[in-house]
Amino acid sequence: MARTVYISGAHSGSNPSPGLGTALSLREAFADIRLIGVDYSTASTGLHHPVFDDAVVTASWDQIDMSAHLEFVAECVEPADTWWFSGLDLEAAWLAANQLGDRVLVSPPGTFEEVAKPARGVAEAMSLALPSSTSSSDPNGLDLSFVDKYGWPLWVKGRNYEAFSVSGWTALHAAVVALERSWGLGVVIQQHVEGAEESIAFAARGGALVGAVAMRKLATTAEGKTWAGEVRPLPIRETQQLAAYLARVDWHGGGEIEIVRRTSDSRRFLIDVNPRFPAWIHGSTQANGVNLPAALVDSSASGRTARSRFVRVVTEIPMRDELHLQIPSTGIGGQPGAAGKHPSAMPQLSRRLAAQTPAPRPESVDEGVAAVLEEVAQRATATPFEVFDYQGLATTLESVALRSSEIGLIPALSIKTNPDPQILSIARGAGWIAEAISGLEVEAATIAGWPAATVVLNGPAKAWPQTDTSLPYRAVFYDSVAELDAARERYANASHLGFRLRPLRAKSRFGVDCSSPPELKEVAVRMLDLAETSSAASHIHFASSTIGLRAWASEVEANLAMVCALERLSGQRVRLIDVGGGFSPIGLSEFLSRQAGELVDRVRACLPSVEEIVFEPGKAVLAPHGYVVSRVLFRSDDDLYIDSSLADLPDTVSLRRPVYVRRDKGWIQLPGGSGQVFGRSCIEEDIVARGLHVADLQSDDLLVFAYAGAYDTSMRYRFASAGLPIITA
Amino acid sequence: MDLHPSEISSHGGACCEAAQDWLVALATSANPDGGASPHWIGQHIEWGPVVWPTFWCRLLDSPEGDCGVHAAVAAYTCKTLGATVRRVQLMLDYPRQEVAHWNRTWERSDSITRWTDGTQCYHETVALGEAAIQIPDASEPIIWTGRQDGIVALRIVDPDGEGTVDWEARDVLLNEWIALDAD
Repeated sequence: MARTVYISGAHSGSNPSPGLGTALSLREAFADIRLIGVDYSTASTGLHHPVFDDAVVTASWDQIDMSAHLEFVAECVEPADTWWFSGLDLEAAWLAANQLGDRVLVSPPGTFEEVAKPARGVAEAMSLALPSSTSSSDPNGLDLSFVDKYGWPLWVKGRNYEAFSVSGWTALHAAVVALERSWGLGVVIQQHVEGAEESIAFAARGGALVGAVAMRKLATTAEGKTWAGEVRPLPIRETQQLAAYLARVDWHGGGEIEIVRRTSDSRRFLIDVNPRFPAWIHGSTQANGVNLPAALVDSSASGRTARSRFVRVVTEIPMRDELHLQIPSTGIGGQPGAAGKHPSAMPQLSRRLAAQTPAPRPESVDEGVAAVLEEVAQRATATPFEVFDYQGLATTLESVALRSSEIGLIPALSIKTNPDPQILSIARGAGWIAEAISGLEVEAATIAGWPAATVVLNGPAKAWPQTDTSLPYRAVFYDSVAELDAARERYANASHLGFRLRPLRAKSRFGVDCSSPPELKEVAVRMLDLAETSSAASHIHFASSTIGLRAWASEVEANLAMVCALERLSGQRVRLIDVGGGFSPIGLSEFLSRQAGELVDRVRACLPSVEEIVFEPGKAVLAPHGYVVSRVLFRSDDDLYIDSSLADLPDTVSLRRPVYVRRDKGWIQLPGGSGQVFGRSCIEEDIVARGLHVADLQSDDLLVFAYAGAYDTSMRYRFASAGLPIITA
Repeated sequence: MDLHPSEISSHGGACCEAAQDWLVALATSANPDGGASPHWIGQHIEWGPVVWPTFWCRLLDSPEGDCGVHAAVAAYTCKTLGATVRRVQLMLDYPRQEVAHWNRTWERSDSITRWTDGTQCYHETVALGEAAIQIPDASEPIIWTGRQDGIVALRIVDPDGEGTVDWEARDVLLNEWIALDAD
């Protein structure tokens, strides 16, 4: 009987499985081999390829009888010289757990836990760094400090399949919910590493390495899938490391290690480990001559080892009518058909496996936090209810002012963050200056007792009817040359006049785009003009919550170089710099203890004429002092309904908001999960929180939404609002 | 061939220093992870003919330049960002029709045209790294890896250095033209 190989995972689309490439490589080595494609829906297009002698489509994983399927696989590999190549991660894991013998080419069960993200064992064995990661189910892991540290974009990855690059909390939570609902196995949030993508494909039998190649991606699809690559021999040291690791875990079958070589320092990071061949495996066979699938069934098969390149092409082939496979049609409105996105039905298998996994167990918060939450809850005489801790705020503002003074910074409170008169009064008393973006805010600053000389004016259009342009404001920043030209009157008595400069990398409509030489030169001309009455100043403002602190710091550094260019072109020395948007509640104390000093040093080194450095950490200081107390109305599976709404908690974008629930034994923070928290209004978008594990909550549970003291207050709107009563502490 | 890597001239005053600051600002912003990739340059300085000698301040009047301008900008900004930078000269093999197109474009300007010869083209970029180097292109977002990229020969220029550097697992002698054989 001819050598026979069953190959599962045969889909050939924009996100292909490795089955077709594996089959093509085997056919290239063994003309008389019998190849049978296996998949779990008729949407698997690769089954129609003539490389397959036959095809088997079984029931989808949500309908399959596991024991019957196991018997089928066992029968398939019963004859001598018959093999099963799994091209599906979860199928491989399931087969491994059921141990059907050596001719089912999957590794021992423990290997699959070893290679699950983050695969520390593989990283250590191969001398690779690991990107920092956290789990969505860890309430303390996916917090502001993780985003502060690594910035956007981040990767949201399923345990076995699928990954999304996200650049904001809304996208992150949507990705967590989508992945958890699709796969049900928990989600990993991973640092993005900028660099070139590489891979190692390998084959091993019973722990013995039979071949390996290195591949560098030359072109990828929008999903990041390989479209062209350069294959070359794996260097000797890495081959030795790989062989030692595979022997240790008794690897059996194909595999792939995905790597990113960081641009900044060429350091290599482990991104993923797959317990199967990659979909580009036939590219290696074709370009490099190393036929790893063939080597698995016949170790005498060998090939060249020169470096060479491959590219993927798209072509059409006739459908094989004799297989009687009906491809599910595209649904109404262009939606994918039932098996459209995952034709091998892996989400269904994943959910079946996940059903056997225990739900995340939330842990109690520490005593200090619990005491604050209990006090907040005690003050809430009804729900929903807002509690603002003015005393705590006063302490924070005084401490920030003191530290700022020590290192040469001037803290400015952006009134828009929370224009509560009591807050403004506390800030003024603590020695802060004010930043206003409207005439009404200037009035609020005046009422709070700030003289004009302690008020900075910002915003994209300052022709406010309420504003007295003759006052000696501390600084006024024009958002554009057009705004300056359109001004009904110039702020001629302002101590400092200047422009807001647009971030160079991040997208923003605000500020002057000095990456354009004509605009750069125009700003220089206007600086000379403004110098007739006032000293020169410059402002950069961009929310670090949208790009991450590291990118924000890089933008500030770039801005300093740009101001140098402006000084040289205009002949004017900048005397005041205003920096905004780079501060989070958790990161502020670290900024003040370390980075702030570095910022001051950098400014003084680059721009020695600068006398004042203003910074605006309003959100960072105010948010932690506000809470909204709410109550669960009811729960429907993963959807929780509460008696508050988006109108009460509108700032769902800029902060990861911890949510706490009171239990008999104390307070716990809700861990991550696939749940969503809906407000009680009739607004379609009334989703107060996403990506939380809510399955343990029930009607009347008391919730506290933290970090609600900044824009949640100033952006609160009347439509569908509960009209929150506020407790003043 | 004894061509020296292209150098952009300076008027020695604020006009050229401002242009250099502008370029450093763009480079800093494009490398938020602390690296020194030059791949941003082609987005801000359009590739095309330029009249040599050229000056830094001309980049503010007309942000255009050939590979020599791109490589000189890369060398300046990458060094300012803290990277170890060496200039790289390459001879590349290109399809005849593509070269003919470039010849015609350059002939229409007042620029030098002797950077092509048949199917071969002279090109410049930079190498980053100390003992082990990468050769990113300063005009396009690609990294040069060897003969399969169309490289016929290259020279890594380091006036103060000698010996070899490791490029893609090859030992490459500094300051010498090296012909690349097919692997």
